[in-house]
Amino acid sequence: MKAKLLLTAAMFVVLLGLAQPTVTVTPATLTPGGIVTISIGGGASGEKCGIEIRDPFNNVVLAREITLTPTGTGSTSWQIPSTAGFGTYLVYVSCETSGAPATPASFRVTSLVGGEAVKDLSPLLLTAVTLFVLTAAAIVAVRKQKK
Amino acid sequence: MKEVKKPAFILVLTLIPLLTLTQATYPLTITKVETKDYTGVPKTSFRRGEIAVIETEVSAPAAYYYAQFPLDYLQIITLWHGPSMLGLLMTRTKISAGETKSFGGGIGIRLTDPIGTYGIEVYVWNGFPSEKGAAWTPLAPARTTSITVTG
Repeated sequence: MKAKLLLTAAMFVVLLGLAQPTVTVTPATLTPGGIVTISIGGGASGEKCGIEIRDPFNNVVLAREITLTPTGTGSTSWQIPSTAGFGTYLVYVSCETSGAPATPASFRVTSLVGGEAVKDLSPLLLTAVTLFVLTAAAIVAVRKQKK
Repeated sequence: MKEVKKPAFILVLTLIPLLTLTQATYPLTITKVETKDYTGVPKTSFRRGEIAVIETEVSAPAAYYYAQFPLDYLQIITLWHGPSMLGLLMTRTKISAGETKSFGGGIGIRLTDPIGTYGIEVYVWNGFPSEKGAAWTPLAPARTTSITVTG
């Protein structure tokens, strides 16, 4: 009975080894010139993984092959070109033994400045209020002196 | 003893393909990766503004048990400086048993590109991960080389 349990456990470990790899992309949003890191986990020891990034226009903008560590992990970084288009980039990963995640990971490239420019009026308002208070205080002081 | 036999048999059946997968050798070989100037003279040091020509050769063995020839493959050449990918060349073609195929191209080094050591990585895959999914596989061990870019 003990031997049967041990064998079942061994089979479970083998099947776990065949689980799909996990892909993490950081950061989730960045601007051109920023560096995105693609990390792979849960792969098989020493296996090769292919990484492909497609831009919002479905062009291949990165293709790279990495070898996972003995613990089944690996990563690569990519500096977003300054001319990169804005939008969602899809990251496809597939490994020769552990396979591929069901859906691609993604990240967003946005412009350096927000879509709408909003002028910050708070310093101007603060100066106006201060001037008003000081003028009012001065008027009150002058009137008190006259009395 | 009898109750142990069945799980042991299943374990062996599970391990055989797994071991085969991890031990599998690749059907193709990248036999040459060479850098040249645009006149065809081999060189590894380039100035900004020049074109680095990268030439490669992929060979198929005369006989290989695990693959059926002619074999379709995707070849990718990338030029890297740190995390920046400064060039990408690709081709899709077919190779027969015993054949050697050449592929190459020029990548212009812009005047604004950094100076230093650039890495060249060459891959031969059965397709893109987005097309092949879990069936994706390299068809040859990757090859790398480097060039130096001066001011």
